[in-house]
Amino acid sequence: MAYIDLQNDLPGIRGPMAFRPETAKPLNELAEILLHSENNSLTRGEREMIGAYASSLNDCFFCHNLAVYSGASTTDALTTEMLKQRRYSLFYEGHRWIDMRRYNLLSQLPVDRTGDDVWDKFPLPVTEQ
Amino acid sequence: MAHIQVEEGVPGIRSLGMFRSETGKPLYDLAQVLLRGESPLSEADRELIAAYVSQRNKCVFCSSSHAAAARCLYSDAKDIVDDVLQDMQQSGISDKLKSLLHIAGKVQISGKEVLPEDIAAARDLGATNREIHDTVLIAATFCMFNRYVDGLASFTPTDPATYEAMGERMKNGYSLPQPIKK
Repeated sequence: MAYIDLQNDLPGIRGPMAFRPETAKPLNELAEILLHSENNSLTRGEREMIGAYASSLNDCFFCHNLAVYSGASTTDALTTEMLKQRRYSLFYEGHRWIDMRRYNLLSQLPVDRTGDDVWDKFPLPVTEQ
Repeated sequence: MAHIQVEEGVPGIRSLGMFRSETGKPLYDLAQVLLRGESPLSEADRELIAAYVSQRNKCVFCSSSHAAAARCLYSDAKDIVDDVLQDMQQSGISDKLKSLLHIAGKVQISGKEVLPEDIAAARDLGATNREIHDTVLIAATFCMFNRYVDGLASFTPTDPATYEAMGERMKNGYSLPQPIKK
């Protein structure tokens, strides 16, 4: 039980983040740059390892167990899990379409009104046509 | 001398924000929303929490600069800042703020040191969910800033006048310093 009523039952840091989105925004941006950005000479695995190691020294069960995953270890299953985690972590930040395009999964995006379609590229600005 | 090559003469976290602006941006945004954004805690009280935690972490740059900012914001009541940093429980601040600083001090040791009775004591003195949330996040964030600044041995001025001027600037808020044009 959290010490304060977070008005949600999300696990770990997601609970307080949903409680106060103004502070969640820079925290998420920082995690995104530090852990997810490809522009780094440390691999993403190495960076998660540093996070997990420091969290285990801080005795933070949630943070250092976050990486434990019990599903299948096929490329497809891991890709699905990673896309699911990114969906939560990067909620409302505009990554979903790019993620799905990158893994050639645009056909899985919902079309919830007849006549709508899912684009597979950005439109060219008029000045560049 | 900092452990890595940063802009010479630029103190503390400013030099680190300039070294890597991609991480500097969200760190400065976080400081701005935590210390200057809308909150039931006054800006002065929030700066005091930051200075108190930084002092406990023995981070001279962060404790001196945020104590200076708190003095500016408390204005005529500025002596309260040094009273708290000397002996928080004996200082003249409200019992509610003492209970929140007590929680911040626990967070500085470890999140797990914060016990249900610490929270109950703060609540009995009128602390709200938002006040407890903001106190814990300011304390946790400054533990990160303190370790960041001292983990890279960034430049820490020793002249009190430098911090006094810094406090005046910090009163107006936090934004990522622009790189120096060469």
